[in-house]
Amino acid sequence: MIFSRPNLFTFFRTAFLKAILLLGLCGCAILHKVQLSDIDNRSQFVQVPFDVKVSETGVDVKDIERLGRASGSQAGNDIGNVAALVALFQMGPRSGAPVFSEKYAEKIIYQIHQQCPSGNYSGVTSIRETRKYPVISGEIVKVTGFCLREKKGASL
Amino acid sequence: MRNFILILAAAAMSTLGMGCVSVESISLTSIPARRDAPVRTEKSKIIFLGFNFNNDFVDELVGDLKNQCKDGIVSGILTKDEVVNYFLMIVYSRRVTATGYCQRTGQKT
Repeated sequence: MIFSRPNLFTFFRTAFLKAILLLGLCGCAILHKVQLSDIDNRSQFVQVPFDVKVSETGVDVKDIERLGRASGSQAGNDIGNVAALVALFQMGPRSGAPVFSEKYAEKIIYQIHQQCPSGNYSGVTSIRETRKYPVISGEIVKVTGFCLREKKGASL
Repeated sequence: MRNFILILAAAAMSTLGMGCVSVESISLTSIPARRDAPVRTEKSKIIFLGFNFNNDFVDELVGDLKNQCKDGIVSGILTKDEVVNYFLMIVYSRRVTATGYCQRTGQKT
């Protein structure tokens, strides 16, 4: 027999912990908001898809606090206390973790304009989501849609 | 007394089985005057233990609405994003519903 009972238990425990760690590092996608715009599906237009994404790094102080306290050391406890204090200043309605600059989403307008200078959009899906990792997160705003270009020879 | 506890337990179990629904977000675009051709699509994803690695299921909404409104304009789109909790947030689903009105070419008002 290759595995004795304690070895088998250790093997499965290690495999389970590795699987959990791997899943944690993959990053869970958390959906906050979805919004759809009007859809122009008239045949006189050619629909060219576009996809724009902006993101900013978020920091979850609650995670820092939890990790600090879980370490069991005095330094860890101190870090936990500081994180708890910082969290007091981050109260209020929000989606995802706090970011360093809240203006990251503003540049999405310019990026869409670059991809579709005519400004004639259709079927725009705006998604606000978080890609969550331990302590840090990716705070993402994604916009997909179709840029409408009139077919040559077609009239409105 | 025993019957009462049994009824209570059955009610609790049926409530858990039905699932609790909460609305995450709602959005609405301009509603047209002509509303005689409603279109609707719904996409959902079941999530177990919070492990969800993408939200790509949302991308299919626009395609579905376009298929229901060939050569027309879909407006008055109400997008509703919900969480349906089936069991203690261990198993839940994200459900996005989009409803709107189709206006064929030449009908727009």
